[in-house]
Amino acid sequence: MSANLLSPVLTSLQLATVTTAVLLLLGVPLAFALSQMRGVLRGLLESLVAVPLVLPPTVLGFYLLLLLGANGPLGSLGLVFSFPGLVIGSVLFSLPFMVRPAQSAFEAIPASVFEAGASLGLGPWQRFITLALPMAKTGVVSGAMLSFAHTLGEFGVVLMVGGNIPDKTRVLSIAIFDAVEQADYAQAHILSLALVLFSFAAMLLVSTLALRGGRS
Amino acid sequence: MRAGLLLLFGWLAACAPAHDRPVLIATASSFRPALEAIRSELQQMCATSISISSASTGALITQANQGAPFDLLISADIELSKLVKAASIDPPFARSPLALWVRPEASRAGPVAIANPATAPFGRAAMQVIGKSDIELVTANSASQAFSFVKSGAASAGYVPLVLLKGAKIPKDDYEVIDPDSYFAVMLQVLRLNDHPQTDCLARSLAGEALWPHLAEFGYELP
Repeated sequence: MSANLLSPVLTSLQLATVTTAVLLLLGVPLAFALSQMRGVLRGLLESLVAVPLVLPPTVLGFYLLLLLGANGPLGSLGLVFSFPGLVIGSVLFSLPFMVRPAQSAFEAIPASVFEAGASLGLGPWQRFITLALPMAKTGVVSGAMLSFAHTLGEFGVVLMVGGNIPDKTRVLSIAIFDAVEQADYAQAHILSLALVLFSFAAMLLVSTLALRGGRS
Repeated sequence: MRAGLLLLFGWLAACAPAHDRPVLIATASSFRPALEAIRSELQQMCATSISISSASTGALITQANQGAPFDLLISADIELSKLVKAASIDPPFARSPLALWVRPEASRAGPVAIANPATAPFGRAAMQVIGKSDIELVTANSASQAFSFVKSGAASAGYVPLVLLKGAKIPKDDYEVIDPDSYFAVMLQVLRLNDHPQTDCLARSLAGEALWPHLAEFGYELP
């Protein structure tokens, strides 16, 4: 595979891996917290987490550009048009893809399990680690797969926040756009086919996990 | 909290793909094929490696002003170039003609592709040529995308840079070079945005005589 093709593939895989890792660290505890919450605050937080599902990626990208750009409040951190900037955009944009499946899995655990844990003297964090996580692993893995696949296919946010910088922020979707714009259809075909195959494999895995989860 | 953020960003930066700091040239999309063609010669002349990022001139200027780490920006729009902050602007080094490309096999009167007049000089030039006629237009992000629209058959014709047609070896019978007096001169110029040690060499070489024969082959003219 030529460097032109390999570089965006590697950049995309690195971005999806780091984004998924950050989402596992932040999104899964958030999903558990939401599953245990009641009332107005839960509704507000759930809506906030879900906003990227309906928000055009360019809107999120635009505000991130204003926030992280040279003249923005966080401009001095130099995050715009950089890999860490891409990660921040991708984490925000893929947050619901991690939180929603994990939250559903946590909510499916009977409340009596946590009550028993509490009666044995387990604190909230211990109940999360020793009871909730193992029982919700199918939902968490599904969320991780969805987040990984969604990050690989993301376009609008990464274009706005990352631009199109070779070996740094030129991810697969941007490389495909670039190739089509240059009328280089051969390159566009190869990269697009790779994304189609990967997306199908990811969805197949998520469906299989969901079926297994349903049976167990 | 701030230390935690710095640690997180440091870790993320460490995860970023490794690169040995090549010179990053952002170029107007119409110049990209020519730049790719002279890339290895430029790299040899200045003993450096080059990375290329392309988009419409307007999009690149917005990115540069937001902190994109470009070393050089090759602009195709003298007016828009003035909007770049903290740049040293070289005189124009080439004039880029406009052409009307009509697909010979176009069986129906489809839309005519032009680049976005707000961000791409070839779009503004095309609008000057078209005037107030009511032909159906489809606007592309850049001159390259306008070219791609015609190539794919999505548009039956397009006002595109001559250099893209020559670069793609489109038969001469399929396009018409537009009278240069009917639109403003689309000029290429180099903007120096960074103090990378090789930027001076690259800027001088781009405008120098050694590479001019290659640019002339693409249809560029002296300014």
